[in-house]
Amino acid sequence: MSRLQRLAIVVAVAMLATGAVLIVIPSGGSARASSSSPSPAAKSHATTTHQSTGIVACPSPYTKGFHKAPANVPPGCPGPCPALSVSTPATMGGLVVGREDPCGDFQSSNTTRALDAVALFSVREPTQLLIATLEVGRFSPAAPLGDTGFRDGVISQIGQTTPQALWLEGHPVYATSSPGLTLICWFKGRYLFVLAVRNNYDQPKSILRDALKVNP
Amino acid sequence: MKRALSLLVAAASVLGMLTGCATKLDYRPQVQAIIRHTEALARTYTYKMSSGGHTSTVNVEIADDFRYLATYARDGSPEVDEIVRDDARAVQVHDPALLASIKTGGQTTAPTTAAGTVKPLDATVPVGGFVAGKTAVSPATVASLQKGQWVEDSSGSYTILRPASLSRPPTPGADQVGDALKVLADLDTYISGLPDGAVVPFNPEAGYYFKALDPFPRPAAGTQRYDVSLSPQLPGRSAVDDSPGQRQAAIPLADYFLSAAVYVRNGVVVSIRESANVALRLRLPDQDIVARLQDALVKLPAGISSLSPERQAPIIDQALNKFYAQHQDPALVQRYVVVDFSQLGVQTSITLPASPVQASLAGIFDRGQTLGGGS
Repeated sequence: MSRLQRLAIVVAVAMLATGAVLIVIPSGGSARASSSSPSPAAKSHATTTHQSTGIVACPSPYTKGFHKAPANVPPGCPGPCPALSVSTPATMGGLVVGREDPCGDFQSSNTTRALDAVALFSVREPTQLLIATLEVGRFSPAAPLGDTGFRDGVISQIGQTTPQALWLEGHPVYATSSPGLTLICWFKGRYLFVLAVRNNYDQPKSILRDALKVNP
Repeated sequence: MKRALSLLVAAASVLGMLTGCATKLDYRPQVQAIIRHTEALARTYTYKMSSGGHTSTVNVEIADDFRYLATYARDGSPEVDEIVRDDARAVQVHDPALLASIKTGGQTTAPTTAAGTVKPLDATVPVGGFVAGKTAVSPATVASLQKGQWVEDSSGSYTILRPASLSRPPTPGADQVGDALKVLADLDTYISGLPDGAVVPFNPEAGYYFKALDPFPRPAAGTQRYDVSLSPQLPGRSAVDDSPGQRQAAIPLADYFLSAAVYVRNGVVVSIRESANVALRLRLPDQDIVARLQDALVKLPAGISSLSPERQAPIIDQALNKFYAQHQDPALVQRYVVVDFSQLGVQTSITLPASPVQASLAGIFDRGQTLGGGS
């Protein structure tokens, strides 16, 4: 089974045209099918099928003037999707962290993305059941990170509910949800972190604690 | 010309002072920013609420929005301790009477699961305050709590999103620990619902200040006090038309009786005083609470209008709460709350108790994610 098959990332190419942040999350559908003791079938399904939240499109006023995506695309990436080098702990919340291909189906001719590099990690049980994903994106130099309107615009487009601000270790994080998932995002320097956790997993805060320690 | 202008300004100032209509700027954003800044800090504080002849005290230590410790005592007697550290929650009950209303059943052993499990999707997190939850809980859990043992649930606080419906508890005092934990957030929410001019700096010289309406202490040197809804104004009673619905709508809700003082030093909240007091509002001129109730055909004793505000207050309190109950509005709980912060910004270590009984705490004083959650 290829890496791409294991982690199918669906990207809404049309939205990329406006400048976009890629958000990838585990499937809410397979989480819904699981129980407190997930059946082997459910686990298998969960490890092989993933679903993307899609795209967080940046507010159009801010996408203008972004630098063009680099022409030299790393090998394995079918489009202008430079992978980002990020060091993570071996485990988060006691679960195994694995590096995933952030590019997947990432194909776009868009040249004004807010993010110019991304990294993607999976957080799995020893059985390979996918519990969470952590995506790290680096904002392009032109992204106006000092503008709270820009940041609010990014946050407001993640998830399907109004973001709730939380203070953890002296830093704000923003929690929202989409069906079957809890999404938490935060900024660190020029980087955006998005953690997506199954909303029926009972140790999400432990994963989040460890994810907060990740530094690009 | 200059002289005429000076006279005009002086006359306007005097008129403003005489009528109590001195200009009030909108300090809500400023005070809310200070409250939110304080919420971001690690903090230790004491929350003390006096109501109905009892005093409840909650000592709180908050490391961040996922980690806190709260100890609750009533009239000096310890009631319950609670520790939340990320996904885990631990509870120790000192007063078994608190458990009397909790329904047990369903399972004969503590239904705990190993940390790191995927819960069935129909597992709901009961919410609703510091009272018996909606879920029938394990008799074994209750038995351990009745013995005064610490019970720890490794996933007893796993929800990250705060339930939107719990931004303010329906009845103050029903969940003392929740009230204490959310004191800053609730004050922020309360201020958001107030009109322009409802938050002003304490200024005993200002035309809008009435000493007889102020139940709060003066600020210490170096501390700025902001008054919140110290003298609210209801829409004129004469503007209410004759329809029964309009007359009932002219009766103020419980929040009308609430006022607060926020004490700020070095840009953070160091103290809060809160008062819900009917007699204070009855002293306000032109509010006509008694007449409004009579307009809405709420039965009041004959001759109540001739009583002093202090003697009217318990009667009005009773009549209002009956009215609120009929209309499913939040109850009015007369109270005086004192909150004193310390150790602001000083990191505190929240640790779970040693050797607790491991069991599910679902349905035991379970309020979901309590801190944070603002937009």
